[in-house]
Amino acid sequence: MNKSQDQANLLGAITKAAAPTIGRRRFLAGAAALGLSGVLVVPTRSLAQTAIDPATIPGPAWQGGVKGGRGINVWQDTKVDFDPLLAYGRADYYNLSNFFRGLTFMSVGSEPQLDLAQSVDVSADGLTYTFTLRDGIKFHNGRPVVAEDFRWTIERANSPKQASWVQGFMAAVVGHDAFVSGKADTLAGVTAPDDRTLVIALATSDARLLSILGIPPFYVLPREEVERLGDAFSQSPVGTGPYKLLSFDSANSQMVSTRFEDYIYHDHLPYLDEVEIRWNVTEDIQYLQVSRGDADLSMSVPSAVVGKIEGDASYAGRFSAENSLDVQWWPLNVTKAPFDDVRVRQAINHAVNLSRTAVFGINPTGHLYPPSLLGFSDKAPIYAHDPDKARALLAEAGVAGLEMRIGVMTSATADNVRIAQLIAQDLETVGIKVVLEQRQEGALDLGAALRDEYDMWNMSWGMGLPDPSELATNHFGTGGTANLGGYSNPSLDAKAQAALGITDRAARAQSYAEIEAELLADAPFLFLGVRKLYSLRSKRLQNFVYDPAIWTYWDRYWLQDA
Amino acid sequence: MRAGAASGVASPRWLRPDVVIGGVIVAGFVLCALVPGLLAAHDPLMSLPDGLTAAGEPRPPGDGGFILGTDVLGRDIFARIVHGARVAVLIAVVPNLIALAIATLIALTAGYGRGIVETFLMRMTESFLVLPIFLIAMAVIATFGSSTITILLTLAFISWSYPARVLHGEVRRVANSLHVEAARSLGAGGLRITLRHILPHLTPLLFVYFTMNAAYMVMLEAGLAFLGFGVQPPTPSWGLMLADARDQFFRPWLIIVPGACLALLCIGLSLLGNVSEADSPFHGRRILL
Repeated sequence: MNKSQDQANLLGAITKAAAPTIGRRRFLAGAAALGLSGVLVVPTRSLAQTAIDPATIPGPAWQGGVKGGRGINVWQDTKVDFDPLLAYGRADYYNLSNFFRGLTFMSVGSEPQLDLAQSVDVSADGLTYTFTLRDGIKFHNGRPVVAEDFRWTIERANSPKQASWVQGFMAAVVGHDAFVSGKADTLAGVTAPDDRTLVIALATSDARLLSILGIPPFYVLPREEVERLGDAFSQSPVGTGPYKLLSFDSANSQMVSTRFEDYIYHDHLPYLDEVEIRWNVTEDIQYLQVSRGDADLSMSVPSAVVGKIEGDASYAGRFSAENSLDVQWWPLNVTKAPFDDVRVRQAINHAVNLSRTAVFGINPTGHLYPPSLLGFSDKAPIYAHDPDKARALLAEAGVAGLEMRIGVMTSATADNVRIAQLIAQDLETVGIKVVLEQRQEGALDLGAALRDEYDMWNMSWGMGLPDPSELATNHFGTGGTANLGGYSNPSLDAKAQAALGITDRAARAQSYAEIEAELLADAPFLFLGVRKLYSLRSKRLQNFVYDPAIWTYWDRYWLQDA
Repeated sequence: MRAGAASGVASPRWLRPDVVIGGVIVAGFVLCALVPGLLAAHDPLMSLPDGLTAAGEPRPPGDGGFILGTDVLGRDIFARIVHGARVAVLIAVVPNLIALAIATLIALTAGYGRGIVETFLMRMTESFLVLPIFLIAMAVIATFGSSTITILLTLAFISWSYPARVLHGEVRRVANSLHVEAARSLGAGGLRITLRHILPHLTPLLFVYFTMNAAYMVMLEAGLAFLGFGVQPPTPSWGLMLADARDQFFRPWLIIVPGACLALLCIGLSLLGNVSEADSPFHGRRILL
């Protein structure tokens, strides 16, 4: 089978799914909704295992580099866990793609592209996804990958024993509730009829499925290694990714991986012979090490040196400030007067000058959605800094002499305390007295008890799935697990539920944009923005590309002097 | 015995250089605490329009007319240091006095009362001595909140045991002395003996402990503030200023200035404590009694 045949098969599969009702334009839109838009070229590999056409490899551009050398990546985390379900830090989560890969892969722009799946056939009703695996995929231990491995991996991610943070993402899969609640032994909706075919059956349409399968917790795992190693699997990752583990030295906070000779794209990628990950390196030291060339990549440059770097020509082309998926906002306790009055909430939003937070690593968009997220719209009605309007709204609401207790969760960064003080200054200028209290815990650790102590607090959420449904469900949906301010808007709940089933990407984006606009008008939070991701590279590291969902693409980077 | 001391007249050696230097340092900070508004022109809580450079950077000392520079929020560091002295002096005095009052009461009761009372009080004191007081302070503040009253009481609560143990030894020594025996023979009651014939002899020790404890309290509060358990922002506090500067190694003045103030106040208190040494008027007072 050649490339054109494979492409024809995939197009046929999609056409088959779309054929009953749609024409060409609708078909293209439907394909885009599935993450299979024009940019997605089906990766192919001939049955004879000859070289793969590099243009069909998923992910960002990569050609033209030099092979060899060791790239060094430094991180601040104090520990790492390379079990995809246990990786909660940055050093581990954003390096999982070095060791593991899945059915789809997030390219730049958080677009899912087929990776270990050669093709996907979606049924006409959008409820059945049939994946055909590539031929010749191997785990690092040498065993060929079969569809059962994917079935087991998905089942593990949803198992009640694991209680993973991604469990809810697959709620639409047939039999999910029974499996998660322990009433069923298997996840009925995921089956592997043969070694190269995986079928996922949904009870209700969910346009996010290909995106979900592209996030690291759903990268395929070898069951025998996971069961044999147990907890030690976290320090001995075995997957299908471009690098396999060479050494793991927890005492020195360092691990080294080497190129996997049987990687599915081994004729082309990766460029580097080895990747070294060091953790337990503070931001200041990261900055010094990368500046000196002792390390190649830091993804957390201290905000204190950003001005210096930007003004120094020797860093030209080596520093980036990107939008992350780390959403920043300050929920208000809407269950309590006077914050149950929308005018008071709007006044608070008008009172604060968000632009002053920019020096603390924030892109103060005034939105809840990150700019890269589906549904983000520049036209959304955000709040301008207008103290006079804030005072007028407070007067209109009959509020005078208001005192607010604000909790400042300092677990993530000291910048939160600084931002809190700026907010306090602005609120004082419109007549709101503020008492700040630092807390060492995270907001989610304190849960709804926050409402007993504070009128407002800071929230930070690193989105695991680059899809607005995560925010709509957890953070402002009625009863959402992270909706700590007690906000409830049945209209938004209904719209968010309906948006889940929309398969047309543009229509879905429009729906989520409307949801955010309504949320902004209701102002249950002080909207801030997203944290900027500052990255610094050594002079020798080339072809740095970044995506807010994946962060690093170590198989694409190369070293100039390798 | 020195003539000056024996006569009860303050010796010129009261003006020893170390004591004078200590006194001047402490007096300077006390002055800052009493009238900060007279010394600092700017509001310590508010960001100033010209407090940051055009690039949003804090100003180093001397830049833009800010003698000690500005912090990352564009606030005048000199104003925050001067106003921060109020917290430092408050912390040095109030919980210190409370702790020493508790220590003295326990030492007098145990040392003079003897018997089961002494056993109970001293075993309790020793139990406190082995506790990790910093962790306890963090736990208490985390439980009851970080209001100023809570912090003051917490600091007092965790710092009375050591002086109590030492004062108890002194009470026992004085209680066995001849003048106490004489007072008892003349019919003096326990309360009178304690207050009139034992307590005054503790004065030099109390003064030493006051100065030592004051420095200790200031450092303890700074440590708590550094970890987020002390006074809360935006209140100007040297510990908070240090905490805010912990990721600012490339702006050294943000660390050096509050750190130097903490060190200077502790040195001043320590030097001032030298006044109770053998050639001080306190020493003479004990002899007169």
